[in-house]
Amino acid sequence: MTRPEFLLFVSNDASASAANPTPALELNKYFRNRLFYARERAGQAVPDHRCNTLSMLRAAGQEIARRVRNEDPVACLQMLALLSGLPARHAVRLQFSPAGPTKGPLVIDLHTGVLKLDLDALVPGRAGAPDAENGTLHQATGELVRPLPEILATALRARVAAYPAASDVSALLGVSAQTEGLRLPGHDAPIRLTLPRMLNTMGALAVTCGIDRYLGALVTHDFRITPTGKFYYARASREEIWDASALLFGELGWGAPTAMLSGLAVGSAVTPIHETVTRWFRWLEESLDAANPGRNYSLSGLLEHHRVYVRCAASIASFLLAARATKRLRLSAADVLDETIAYQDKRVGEFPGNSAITVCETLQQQLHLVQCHCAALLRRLLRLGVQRTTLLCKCLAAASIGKDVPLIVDINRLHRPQDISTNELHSWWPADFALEPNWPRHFWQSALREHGLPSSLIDRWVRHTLAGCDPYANTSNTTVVAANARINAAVEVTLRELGIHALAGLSQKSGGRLS
Amino acid sequence: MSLRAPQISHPALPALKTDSVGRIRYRPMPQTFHMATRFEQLQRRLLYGELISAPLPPLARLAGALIAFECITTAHDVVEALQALADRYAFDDKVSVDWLAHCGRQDSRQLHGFVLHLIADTPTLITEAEARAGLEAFGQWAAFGTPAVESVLVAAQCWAFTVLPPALYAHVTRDAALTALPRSAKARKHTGLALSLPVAGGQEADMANVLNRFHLAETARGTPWLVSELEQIATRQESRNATHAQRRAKLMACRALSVELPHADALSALMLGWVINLLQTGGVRGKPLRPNTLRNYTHRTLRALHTHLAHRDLLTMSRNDFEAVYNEIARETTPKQMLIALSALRSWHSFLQKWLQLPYARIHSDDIEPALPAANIIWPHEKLRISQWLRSASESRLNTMLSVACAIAFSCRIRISELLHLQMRAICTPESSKSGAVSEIEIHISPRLRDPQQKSESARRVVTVDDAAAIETIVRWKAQRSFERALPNDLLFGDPITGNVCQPGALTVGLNQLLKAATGDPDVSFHTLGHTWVSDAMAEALLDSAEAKGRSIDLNPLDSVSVAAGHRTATTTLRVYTHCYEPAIHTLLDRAFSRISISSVEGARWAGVSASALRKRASLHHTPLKDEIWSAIRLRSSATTHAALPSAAAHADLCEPLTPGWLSAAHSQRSIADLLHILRDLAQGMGLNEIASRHDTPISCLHDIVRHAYEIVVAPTHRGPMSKTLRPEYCADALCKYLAQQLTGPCFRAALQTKYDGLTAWLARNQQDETLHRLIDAWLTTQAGRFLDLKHFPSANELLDLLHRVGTPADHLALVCAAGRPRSHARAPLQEGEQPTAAPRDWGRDKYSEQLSLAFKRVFSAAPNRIVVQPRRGRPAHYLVWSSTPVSIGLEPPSARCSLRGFHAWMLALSVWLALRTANNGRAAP
Repeated sequence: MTRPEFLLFVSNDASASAANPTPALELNKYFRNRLFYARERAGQAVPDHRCNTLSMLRAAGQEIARRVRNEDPVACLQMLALLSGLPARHAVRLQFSPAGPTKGPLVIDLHTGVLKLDLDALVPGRAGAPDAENGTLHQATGELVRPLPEILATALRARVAAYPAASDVSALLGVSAQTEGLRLPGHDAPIRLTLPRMLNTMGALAVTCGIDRYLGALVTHDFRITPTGKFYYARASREEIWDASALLFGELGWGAPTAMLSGLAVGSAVTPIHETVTRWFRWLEESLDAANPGRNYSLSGLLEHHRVYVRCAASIASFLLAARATKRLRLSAADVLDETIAYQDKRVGEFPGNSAITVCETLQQQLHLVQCHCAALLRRLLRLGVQRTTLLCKCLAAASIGKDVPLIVDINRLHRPQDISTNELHSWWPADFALEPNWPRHFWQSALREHGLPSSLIDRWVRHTLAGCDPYANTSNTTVVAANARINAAVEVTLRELGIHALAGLSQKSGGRLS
Repeated sequence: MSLRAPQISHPALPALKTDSVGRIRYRPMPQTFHMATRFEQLQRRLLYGELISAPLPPLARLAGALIAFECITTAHDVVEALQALADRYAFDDKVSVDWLAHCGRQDSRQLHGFVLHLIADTPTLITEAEARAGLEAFGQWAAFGTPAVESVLVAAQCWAFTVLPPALYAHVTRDAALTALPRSAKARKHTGLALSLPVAGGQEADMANVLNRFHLAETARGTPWLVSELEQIATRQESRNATHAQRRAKLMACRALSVELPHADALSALMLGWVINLLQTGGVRGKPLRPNTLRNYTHRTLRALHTHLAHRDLLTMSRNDFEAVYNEIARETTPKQMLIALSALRSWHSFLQKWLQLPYARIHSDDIEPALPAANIIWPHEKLRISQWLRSASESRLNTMLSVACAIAFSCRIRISELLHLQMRAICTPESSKSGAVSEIEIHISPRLRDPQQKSESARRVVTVDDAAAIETIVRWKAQRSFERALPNDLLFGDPITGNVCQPGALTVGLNQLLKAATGDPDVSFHTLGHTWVSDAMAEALLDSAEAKGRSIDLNPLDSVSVAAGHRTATTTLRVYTHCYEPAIHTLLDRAFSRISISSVEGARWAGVSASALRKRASLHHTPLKDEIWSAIRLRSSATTHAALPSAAAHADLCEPLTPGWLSAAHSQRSIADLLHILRDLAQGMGLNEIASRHDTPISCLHDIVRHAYEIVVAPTHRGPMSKTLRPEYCADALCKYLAQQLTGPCFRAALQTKYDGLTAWLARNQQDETLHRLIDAWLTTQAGRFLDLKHFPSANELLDLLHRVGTPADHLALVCAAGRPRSHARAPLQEGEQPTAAPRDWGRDKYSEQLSLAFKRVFSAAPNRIVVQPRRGRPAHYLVWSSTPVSIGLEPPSARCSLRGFHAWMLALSVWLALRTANNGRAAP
């Protein structure tokens, strides 16, 4: 055999896939290794010495597409490898899915021309949709469905017609995994164009051509360009995936993707729909109205109103801070005037610590109203004869003048102040909303992306870390003020859409003045 | 004295942690933003008039303005900046002030209008005590807590954390300080002139020689004889204060040694370079070294360094390797000598860093300060100047290579070792550019296995050149190299003959000389171009953070710059290479201030125009009043409104740069070895144009060479027309046919045999016409096919005399005499078990043989090795055998050893060289 210009296959040994009986496990292991042990430069999506340049990748993409159109089996395998994010040794063992359920973590459905990846196998333990869910949540699945380029689907279908018994890529294309890289005519650079290097560059290419990092990770299977947490919280619709794929294929010269396959979004299955959030807010308003102590208030009525109010305020605060379910909502009365606060609800990353969280306008108003409410409550309690020296009064007094004390505090049965926990809020909300304790994080991950906020800023806000991309390291060039301004703007737009605003407590009758 | 800035410890300050790659991670504390908010309130108060009306002394106001509006956040910096205000200057349409930070790095700010407004009230000269008192007074007034100064500075740092990117926050808090450009560099840009600082003369030529030897020599070769010589030179007795003449004498002795460099190993050559450097420029700080110091340096370190490094490749050694070697050497010295040894090692390593760009190595000693990055850049007008010089330079291969090297190094960040070892195929044109005009090229920095390893794994990278002129230069050079038959795997700056880097020393030194001449700064070197590219790219990236509003690509530009610079993290890129950050700080602070609401009345105070004018402008321009007020305030900080200020060039000694003379010098003199290579290419049938390109020779000169060679070797036996009327192509063809003769013509490959090394060196040293003509005459008389026929005694005697002068060992020569029966009557071949018998004693004992033996004995003072062989057809009766190894006594050497076709090649080259010299009226061949 003469040495072909296209050096990928060496033998036609189609029995290679039979050597390892558990390709699914290996695939899973490969993806998990790439996800959890990524290099810093991979996270930064900057092509380094382990990558090819973007121009080389584009040129290679066009060359591969040309050869796929000529039904070159090696080029088909290379395109498939680049699409699946797998080296050739794994790509040749990809299985074809029949119409029924998928048999492995990653399969090719040739009938519809899509790749199907089981995200649950990759990131196990994702929150599943509750049984009582009744249309309040976005329906989503753990199966990532991505289109193949039309040219590849056509070429593969033609091969299937010739080899109907083939069950995997190796058998279908008659190629093995021994690769030597792709040699482009007239391109003899020292850093050669190889399949592993091209695979390392796919994520960077997706980011550079303007695809959001999360979507880029999904459409290239280069999961290193986004934090792992994203796969638990974010959700991407089929339309988004098809649009991102079309952009990527266009960049590589691979033509159009296959026709869109309608179906469920991939990712978080507990993201509430906008209407649910609006209803949830209305329910907060109604609860607060129902607990109004009235003109002739009693001590118990005042305290009950306060309990409801702090729950409403804490709900809004936890929603607007994208807070995790914790025992204590750490908000200080001293933070009321600050546009940014230091907040930590989980010890994550190499250097666990606070993150700079923007306090959006609505939350600022809400915190201010809580402070006013504390002052008004204190006045009423004093009118009812409660001693100023009691712990409750002291706490309310300190909160109302902005001392460094917890701002949103509940009152227990012994009439003592008590921290409010976000877990407790979850049990307070009606079950028919089917909201998870962490639902704001699920909600914002997708809602902010829909408003065009880059993934890195969303991650900054929701305290997700990615190796090499620490926003507070001295290698970062984004200012806290600039990042927060962009996040704030997107949050405020979403809040306006949802009809969410700050809720006033007792202070509405005192005109919001601080005592 | 500790060199680290005293860190403030405060619960409000962001916590920090340094990771394994030197990156500093910050985490805000609960009070951080609260303090930042309080500091913003202070800024508002100051803006609303308290900066002017508060009951504070002028210096306290100024200190407050520096803290609040210039983000100077450490006490040391505020005090230094206050003192430096007297020396403020105009640069880039801004008023700038420079001072030295506690860590020794230069810092600088472009001042805002608020500070400039207050300067008029302050005394011209501010002492440190006054500055401290002013700072203290402001701290008391601001009343942020106790201690007063520290509290307000902490608040300023907290505010800086919110409005500056962490890269610049780490700078203003001195956690990871950057280094600003010195004023001399700014003066160069401001005036377009060069500094007129003295540059050590002659150093570059010496270093070219040394570096050539270092790059081309073997790693280890023989004994460290050069080290002994250097020690002897350094030990020469001198008075304590050596005069210039004494130093010069030592320098001359070192230069004399450099003639012998071909016999030294690579490391010794480098050591010679170091000693010359020490003699010429002094120590690290530029002061002339005392004789004792030079002696101590050489005696403490040279031999130890040679022992540890002689067998290692310096270019592939990492920082850890160097540190291990230096620690080992330091351990071997006595405690008393330790300090001198460390000082010497530091000087040695800074020499390596300067000329070979080796990695920094920390040489442990508390008494020696760590080196700070040399902040300097080459401005665009200086690059343009160099390009113009090179365009008007005389045509030579070196000048062309310099143009290409400059085109590459001006457009991307590349190290000198990377540049020298670029392969032809490293220059790639992206596919997108192949269809139309080339808009950019990619350079793959990835050396061959045989080349020196790179500085680090991250140094392997692809850089992009998008400057049209640079692309044209590079592409043209690549085409020329292809025409010279360079293969894709060959070096871009390769020698067409040897394949090694072509004149690496001359190229390195030439680049350095050009940069030094264009800037007038003796500290500028090729490495400064790296600082230039990174500084420009980083300034753009940092400004990007200031301007970024709707950047769609989710990438950190600092990381991209870091990858292109070949660094593992952006920390190195920032801390060592970034020098132009002041515009970014200025712009970011402007943006932060513009968030503050200010009334037209208050704004009018700072803008210097009336409030009604501001309002009118806003309505006229249809812009918000706030924006109009802030743009007016920004305009106030422009240097044009402070015309009386001195410029950046006020105290600098500047002059118009002079074009380096060597650029316009005529062609370098062609050596005999060059002619040998040209004749070899002719023998291989290469075209004249190709040879001209490969040897950097004008075609007219090549025609002369061909004609002379034709006259010497072809014309005497060729019945053709007179050579002067012949076309060069005809001569070349005839010459090629003659030279290509397999058995009798000169053999240019054999000319490289080691037995001719002495001859080569002797020819390089002795260029006296008379001697050379005698040698040529002797050769022409004795040449017989591939042998040297000794039948003509005077010529044979002359030849032996010259061989002795060349340094040929007597036992490498033999006199062969053919006697006895012809080969056709030779005895039957030896039977199995039969021993060969020596030649009969009477064979070859004729009178002439004896005469030759006597002549040999007289010349060499040793009896000749006489060999008697059977006569053969085509061989003379008496001929000379010249071997690379001692000739076995009495036995006939193999036929190949008897061939002197290599010698004929040398002599032909010498004949042509002499003919050219004669034609040029006694000057060397052009």
